[in-house]
Amino acid sequence: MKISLSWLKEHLEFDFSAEDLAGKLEALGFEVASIEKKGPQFKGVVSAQILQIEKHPNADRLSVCQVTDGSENFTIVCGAKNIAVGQKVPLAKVGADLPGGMRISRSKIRGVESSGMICSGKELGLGAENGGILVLDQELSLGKDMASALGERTEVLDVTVTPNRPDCLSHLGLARELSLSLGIALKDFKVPVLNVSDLVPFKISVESSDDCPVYVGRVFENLVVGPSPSWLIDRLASVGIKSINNVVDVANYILMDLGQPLHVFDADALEGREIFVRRARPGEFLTALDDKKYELNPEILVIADKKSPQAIAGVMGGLSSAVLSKTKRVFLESASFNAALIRRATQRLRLKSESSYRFERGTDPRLPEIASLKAADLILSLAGSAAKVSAAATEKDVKENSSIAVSASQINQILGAGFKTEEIGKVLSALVRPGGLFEVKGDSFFVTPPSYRLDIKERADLAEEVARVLGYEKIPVHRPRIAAVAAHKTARAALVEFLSERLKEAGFFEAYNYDFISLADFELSGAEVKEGALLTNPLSEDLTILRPTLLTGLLRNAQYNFNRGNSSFRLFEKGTGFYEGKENILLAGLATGKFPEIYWKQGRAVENDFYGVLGVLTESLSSFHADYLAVDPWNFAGHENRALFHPAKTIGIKVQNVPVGMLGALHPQMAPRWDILDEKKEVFIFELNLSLLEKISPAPFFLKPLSEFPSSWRDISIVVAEEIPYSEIREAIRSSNLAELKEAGLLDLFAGDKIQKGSKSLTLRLTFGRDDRTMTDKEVEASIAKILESLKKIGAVLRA
Amino acid sequence: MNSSDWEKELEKVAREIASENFSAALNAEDLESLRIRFLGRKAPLTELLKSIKDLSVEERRLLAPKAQQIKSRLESEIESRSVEIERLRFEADIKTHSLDLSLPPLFPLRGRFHPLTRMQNQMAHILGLMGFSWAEGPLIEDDEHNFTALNIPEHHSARDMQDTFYVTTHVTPTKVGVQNSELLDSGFRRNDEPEQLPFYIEGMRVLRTHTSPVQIRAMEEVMKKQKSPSSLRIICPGRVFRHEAVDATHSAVFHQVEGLYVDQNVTFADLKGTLEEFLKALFGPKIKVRFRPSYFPFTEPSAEVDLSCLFCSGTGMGPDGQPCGICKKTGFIEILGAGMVHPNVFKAVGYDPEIWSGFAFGIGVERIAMLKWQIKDIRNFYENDVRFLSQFEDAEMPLFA
Repeated sequence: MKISLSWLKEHLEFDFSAEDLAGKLEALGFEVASIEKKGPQFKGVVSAQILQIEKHPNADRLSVCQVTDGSENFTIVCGAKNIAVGQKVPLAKVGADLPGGMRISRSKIRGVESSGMICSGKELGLGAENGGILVLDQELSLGKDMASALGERTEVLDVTVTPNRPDCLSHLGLARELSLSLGIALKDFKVPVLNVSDLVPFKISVESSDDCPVYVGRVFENLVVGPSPSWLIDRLASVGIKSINNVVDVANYILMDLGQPLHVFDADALEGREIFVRRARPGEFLTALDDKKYELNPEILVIADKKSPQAIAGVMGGLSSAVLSKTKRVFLESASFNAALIRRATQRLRLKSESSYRFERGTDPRLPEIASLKAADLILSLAGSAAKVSAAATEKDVKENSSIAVSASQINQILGAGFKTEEIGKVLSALVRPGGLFEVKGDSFFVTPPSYRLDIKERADLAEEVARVLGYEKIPVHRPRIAAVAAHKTARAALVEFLSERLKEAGFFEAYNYDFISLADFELSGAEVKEGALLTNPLSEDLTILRPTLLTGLLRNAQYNFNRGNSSFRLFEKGTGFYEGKENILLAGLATGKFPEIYWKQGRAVENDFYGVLGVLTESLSSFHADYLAVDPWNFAGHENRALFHPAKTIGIKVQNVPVGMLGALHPQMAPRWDILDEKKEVFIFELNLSLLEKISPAPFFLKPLSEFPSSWRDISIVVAEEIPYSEIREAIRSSNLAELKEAGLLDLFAGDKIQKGSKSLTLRLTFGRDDRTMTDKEVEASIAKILESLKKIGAVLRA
Repeated sequence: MNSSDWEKELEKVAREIASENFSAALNAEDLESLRIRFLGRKAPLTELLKSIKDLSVEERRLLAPKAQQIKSRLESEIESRSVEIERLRFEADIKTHSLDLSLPPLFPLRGRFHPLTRMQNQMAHILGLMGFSWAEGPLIEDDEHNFTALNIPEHHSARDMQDTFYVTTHVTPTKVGVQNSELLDSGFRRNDEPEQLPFYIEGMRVLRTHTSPVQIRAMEEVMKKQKSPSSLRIICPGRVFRHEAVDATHSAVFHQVEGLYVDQNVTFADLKGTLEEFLKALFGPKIKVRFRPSYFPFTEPSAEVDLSCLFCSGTGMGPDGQPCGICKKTGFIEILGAGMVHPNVFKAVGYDPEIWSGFAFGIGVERIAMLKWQIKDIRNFYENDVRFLSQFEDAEMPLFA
């Protein structure tokens, strides 16, 4: 809300700067977004006329002018070219202050004394340099103070008023607030004595006092509606309101001055002499001042004549009853409406105004009568000498604020402070002025907040007032003594952190993506989602879907990075997947390129491949003893995003028979659709459902004893049909059931020229050992024989 | 050979040995040939020692030690030369097998946490040490938890403080086109309406606009489990959503760390003490903390907490003598919002506000991360450019200590 310093001074006497004022407001809880200077920023400049021009004796480019301000003549040295005898010009006299801190003093210029300066528009801060002095209107009288002729000089503060303080949405309101904290009394609030005519006011019919607790109406006749005087135009302009005409401007002036929204109707456009404050009827319409037609309904309060709605109560008037220059008769409304009702109307109609902004936050129910008086007084003074006004017709049913009992110790208890009883009493008694009640009974204060303080309802509110006025800095800093309860993370947070840590160790960078994705990306993911979630009011039409998978985001990140020349990276993200009517905690990853990206030493760069990423996952999930199954990977956790995964390079991950994730290469036909156009670029992706994993307890860990006896190893090379997967070979070895076999590692794998077609060769390193003694060579040989026997069952033979 | 001849012969051998320059042997081979020449089977000294048996016992007693002495001196001379040769060989060898130590190292493959995770973890760690446990809640919230129970009633203008995303749940997004047009037809919002007025849709769920609903959930859980109130110290780091246009300083998705402290006789002074302790741990012991009045519907009294500017040390002036651009000359930067839990919030969860009191606070993780690492554009956090992500080191020295 814009507050003009000079306007504020009509309510409060103070002499500190705009910056100091901003500081005081901030200490009270009102942030000041900006301070802007408005109007002429100079002093001591008057209108003058050039009587005579002579060339400067010692300088070709300068002139020596004789200038008069009507009462005195001055010799001025001037460098401008556009000067002429008879011109009226702004003269900065000795002692004048110009914008930018320049002060005019008597000075000798090349030997000629100059007692002032003829100013250009730029020198006065009134616009850009246009090559010479500012030439004034010939009609202007001499010796006039230019600053006041050009409008009011003020500074305007843009103050942020929080929603709990609608009473501060006016100059009076903020003056009241400052008066409370600074201990400066408000200037006497003059309620005008109105010269009321015998005009008969309109009858006011309020359907429900819940909807409209106060309604004050007045009728004016014989008005001359026309332009406002410049002081009013300037005042409104300084707080960002455009002048319309003298009557409408008065309504806006009172709004910004007192905080009471008013509305003026062209009374001749109203049918009959009765105003109805009622709910709209189904099917009623109103074309409002914004020239838009609104469909009304019974949830919306309207101001109607006997025929139809003429205004949306508290929000906006109707176009047909607008006050225009032809208007002669005016009906002035000053009222108080139910805040929630006005708010609902603004939402239903998607229509807001300065009035609705205040009504939906709450207005002072005692203000409409005063505001109506002040507005009427101002209208009469501006709208012609024949103007007449009626007495007020008033309907009201106002509930009084109830009193709050509080003791000084209760306030100190909330704040943890040691404020003295008198200090607290002083704040609370000032708080209720004007309009409220303050009593002391024994140890207790009884505080009845004034009608405009809608925010004060209980002790905590009074504690805040005391703290605000006395200063938050006066409350001590105290470290609480805490119970010795160990802090802990949730199981979910601990799991997420554990796995994130593992991935980070394996070179994954953590990514953060938005939770909403486009329909296009959603469809590209191929996810079939049951019971997903949508945004009803997305930021843009294409970001509608709450993501069921994190992979779409990571693929977009991959594309983003490829486009910026980053070609090798591992990314992961933790986040929420929305499907099956619930929020599923997911962990997804993407890996591509090689590490290090470039390196001088041959053979040190490692490609990101399927086995590398599988290794990371296996390592990360080792305590869960997960199974990695090439078969049937698709039934993963209720969302089947199979379309993203390579049909032959994808594996399912199960823990205790529960499918918890998938890992694979990006489907080759999908890559181009994600704008990954390099065919050689392999991208690996995985996703784990941690909501499932967190329900599975990892196996408890105990140390395996270390054998005291050396183990022995032998390498064996076997040949087996090419289609036999390694898992079968591993299983065949396992089925030989040898306790002595400690490890079987795959050392080499090849197919080709040296091997029979359709076969492959595997070299395995078998490690044997016993915990009770060293094995003999014979025993080792016997074990190998047993293993070879098992391998025979799948057609594997020792390579010749 | 008689003894005098023998002795002469020995002296000759001794002279020969003495005249030999063993240092001239530059390698093991040279040394070996010297050894063979002087100590080999056919060497004169060897021959002499063999023939000593031809001399008398007395002569032997006299001459044998002399010969032995010459021999052992020779042996030790060869031995020391051998050591010297080995040393030279090793030195030469080291030289030929040295590395170019200036070549680039091979860095281990190591990832990074996102800067927001790092910042969130730092905050959670400090608060964890102060006894705050983690709590969590859903991202899709109901009206009750996100607003009403937090003293933000329906049709109250306080709802305007947080522009809200509304969510339709339990829909099948493959039919999203249909679903959305159905919603639009029922009057929620039309495509041709560009303005984004805040509006409320009855019964509709929302993306949580703050982490504060977790306060409600935490107290509800206590009531559910224990049937009566008890004290609480919780934090909830998490994601929140605001329906606002994205630019360099606004993101529709961002993160907060929420804190809640509930006990009997908790005061505003405790709030000041706890937050000051927290901020000093986060930003260093030299910072100053300032509390200003503010408004949040769910706290009363409420405070905005400012920190002395980290960049101009609270002076308002930069090192170049120009006004500090970070704090805009004020010497303070806004860092978090806090306040005493509003009695209505306690009433909403069944805690008696006459007995229980507490404070709550919420910190914007993005804002702090941007301040701390001088990140100018909030969108950087969500682009995931690896050139950005790779800059956040794990072993970072505290910047403001």
